[in-house]
Amino acid sequence: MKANSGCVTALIFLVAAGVSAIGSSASAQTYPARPIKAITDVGPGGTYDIFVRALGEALQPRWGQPLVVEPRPGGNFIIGGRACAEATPDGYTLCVLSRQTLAANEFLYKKIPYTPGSFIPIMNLLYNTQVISPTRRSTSGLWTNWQRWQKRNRKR
Amino acid sequence: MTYSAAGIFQRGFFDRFNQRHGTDLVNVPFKGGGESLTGVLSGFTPIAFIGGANFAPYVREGKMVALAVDADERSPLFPDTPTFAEIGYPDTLSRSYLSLVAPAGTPQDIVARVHREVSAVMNDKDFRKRNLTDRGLAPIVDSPEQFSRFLEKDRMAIRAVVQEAGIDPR
Repeated sequence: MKANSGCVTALIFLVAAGVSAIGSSASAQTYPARPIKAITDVGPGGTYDIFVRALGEALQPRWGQPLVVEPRPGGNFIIGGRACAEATPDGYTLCVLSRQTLAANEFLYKKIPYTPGSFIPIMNLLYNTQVISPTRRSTSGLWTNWQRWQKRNRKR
Repeated sequence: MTYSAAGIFQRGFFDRFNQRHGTDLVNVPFKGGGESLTGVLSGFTPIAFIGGANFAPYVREGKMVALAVDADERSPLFPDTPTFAEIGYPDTLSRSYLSLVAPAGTPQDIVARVHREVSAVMNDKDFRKRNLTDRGLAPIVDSPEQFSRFLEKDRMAIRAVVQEAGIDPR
């Protein structure tokens, strides 16, 4: 009886190993077999959209497949996050999402249709350096004050 | 005087600025960098705090002034503009980032493959110059584990900022 149950265990183990081997070879060796979708949380034409399209173009010769950008802007970045969370996790949907979607929305809104666990982090791509910039014409007074204030600050 | 800002972190800076200097800079909501830029050029919202790539050409032409950049080092796009740390705001925390993720359940070997290929592109000198540094974007390229830890840390930092600002989730 004891030997028997050991046999069953071994059999189950083999089956499990077989399944995972098949899964792995099917996904890794033939991937990508068709175009990959990139869900974004911003509209077309902006800084991030332009970047993602450039990334897709550079990836195409490596993958032999296009990266099709699918902008899902609006809704305080909730729409894009939700679209990614609900996509089929087969490797044919990747998501390029911004800080507000990934790290801030959960603290700003009571109900958001995804959690940090909805996403597998792959890579942080870039910082979008933020700059304060007024018009020279409309804010000349402010500009002068700002320069004075900077000088004071540097002396300190 | 009014300003437009990319998000809650940039607004947080103006809140602190107003507190420190007794100023009354008022936030005007906007949609996207294009609208913010139009606001500055028309004088409707004369100050903007958004991604620098949006207005680098206008700063070069002298139509706009870059007052401060939120980065560890000065930006190659605005070499004469001080960082926030230089002007006394070391923890401004307004830096936006853009990240690559996959829906939970995506096979691990595919995630590894995507990471490898995207790293190769991101580390390519020409790609980096043309699509990142020349556009005011600073490349990161970390591992999934590093990014995961970074994200967790940033979520906690944001939670603290939101609580400190007394913002109630809507």
